[in-house]
Amino acid sequence: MASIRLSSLSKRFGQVTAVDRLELLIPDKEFVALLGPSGCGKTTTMNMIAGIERPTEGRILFDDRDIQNLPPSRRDVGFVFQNYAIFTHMTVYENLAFGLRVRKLPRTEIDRRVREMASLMRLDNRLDWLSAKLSVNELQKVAIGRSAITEPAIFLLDEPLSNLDAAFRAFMRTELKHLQHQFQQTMVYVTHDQIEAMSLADRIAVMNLGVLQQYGSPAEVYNQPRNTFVANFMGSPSMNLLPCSAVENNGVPALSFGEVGMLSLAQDDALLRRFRTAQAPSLVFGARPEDMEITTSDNDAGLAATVTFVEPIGPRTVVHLDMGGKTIKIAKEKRFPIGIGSRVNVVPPRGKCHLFDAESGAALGLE
Amino acid sequence: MFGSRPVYNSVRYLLILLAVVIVLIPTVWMGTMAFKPFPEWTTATGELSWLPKNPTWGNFEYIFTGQTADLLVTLDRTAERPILASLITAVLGTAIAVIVGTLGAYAVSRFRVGNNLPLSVLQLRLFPPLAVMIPVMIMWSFLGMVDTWWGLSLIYGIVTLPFAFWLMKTFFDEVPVEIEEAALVEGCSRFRVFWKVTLPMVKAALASTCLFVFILNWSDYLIALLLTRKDWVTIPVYMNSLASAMGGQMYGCKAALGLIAAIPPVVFGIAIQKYLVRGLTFGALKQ
Repeated sequence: MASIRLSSLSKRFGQVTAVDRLELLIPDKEFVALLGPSGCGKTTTMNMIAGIERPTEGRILFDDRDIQNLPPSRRDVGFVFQNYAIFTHMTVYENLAFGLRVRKLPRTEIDRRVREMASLMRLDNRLDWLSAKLSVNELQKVAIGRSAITEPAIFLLDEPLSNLDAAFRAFMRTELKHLQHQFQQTMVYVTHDQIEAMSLADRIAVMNLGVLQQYGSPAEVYNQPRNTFVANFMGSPSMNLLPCSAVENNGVPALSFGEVGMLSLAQDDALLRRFRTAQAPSLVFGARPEDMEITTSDNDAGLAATVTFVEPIGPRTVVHLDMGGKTIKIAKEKRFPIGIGSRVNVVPPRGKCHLFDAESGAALGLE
Repeated sequence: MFGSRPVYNSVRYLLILLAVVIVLIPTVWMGTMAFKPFPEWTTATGELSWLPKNPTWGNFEYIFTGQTADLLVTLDRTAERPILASLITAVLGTAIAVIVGTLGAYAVSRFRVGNNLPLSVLQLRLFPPLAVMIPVMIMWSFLGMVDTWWGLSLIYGIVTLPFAFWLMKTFFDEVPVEIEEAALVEGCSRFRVFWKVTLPMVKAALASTCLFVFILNWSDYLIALLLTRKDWVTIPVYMNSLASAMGGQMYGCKAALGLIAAIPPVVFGIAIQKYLVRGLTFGALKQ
């Protein structure tokens, strides 16, 4: 079993920096998700861990052992690719047996393990099929099985579920979790889907443009985003971010949203504490769609907005509002009674608001 | 474009028929000519028929034994030796071109090596063949390789290498690199990845390339004409010598030889038909 330490790891392709001085410790037997939009460097990071790409700078340590000069074949890693990379000229059996045959295991042992893995993956009745004939879902099961069968200490998955249909994706999520419990591997999982990352991972590393943005448990990343990028990337619909400026209203600190209104901080200690750490007056205010309230009464302290669109998505209703030219979204229970064009007041949740520096995007007042 | 569907269809089938006829007539003509006795070869008797009036094996007998009943001239060289020469040089030339071309194409496709090499490989083909072959002839004669099986095989390999290289490169480019990376991570060496994973995936392409290169070598006339004298004359060159001062061009004998010469490519083609028809469908990447 193995922990992985990435130490100021960089990868440049010509002028492009794909990964920039990445520092990451992935503890033994943990499930870590590398999360970020396309081109954020997460796949390059995976390829460097597997040994497919060579780092430009920095080191990779497995259990404090520098594996820089080990070829992929000797790193004891399993790799599942987004496009499966199944050997289509071979049968399912041959695909599953591939790694074991390379390792020259006895024939009976190979046969036993292939059948065991096939039944685990529910591929028993497909063993003799030429893999070119399989469905997309089955291909991915073969790909996962082929990598898992050699029981590598480290299991790398590069967007393994993104080509699958929705129902099967949900099923595979639980299967992967089971697999990890069974084999007790260190798993690194690349995805751009924050729901996948939240539901599977013990820790999430959010990346953007080759730079690590935040590394922490799903709850930490969700509840205490370190900057506007993470705040915006986690959650669906994403966090509402509104530019504002720090003012004083009759001696009480407040946030001014221009014509939309003013938010007094007198009653929100948490927000006030964040406010006090601000270095510059221009800030970004953030609140999750599911935390915000809509009220039609005028006397409530809130921000003026107009309903532009109502989106019923099964269990919830997402209300789109225009707030001084900026669109914000608020998630309410299903069949929430509101009409398009209504003028309403939006009330931010007490104790659940975020504040960021407008220039750097960094969160204010995080412990 | 066309007035109606029936009109469109009839024009279509007419064109197809025309194409089929154009392709088949020479083949059929050769096939029947091979069995015609000497008087039926030309219009010398005043008439020309599609089918032989008096079918005979005489033409075949003549090219293999040097004599036959209705031909007065005896042939000083029979066809066995040229057939053997053609087989040896075409097979060896194909082997050289395909092996070197495949390895080179793999390197260029996967490791981005060689800079302008892929294009400069084509340079032998950029000039009229005769312009290139005269210097080659001088060089070969200097090296003592004229009229030898190795000399001819080598130049066949060199001349058809660009085809093998470019065909295989396009096919290798289509194999997703992740498949090889997967095999590497599973513990394979680079060579094993090539041998066990990549090559089997392009075997259909490899078979087609072999056939294509073989046909090029098998049907060559110019190179063999320049680089052989006596011992290693190939079928096309030998065929040209099937003429006599008395009888002129010996069409029947040429047709008989042509029929025999068509056997290897046809057999080869049928043998790998499965691959030719299936074409290249890599199911690995489903987006």
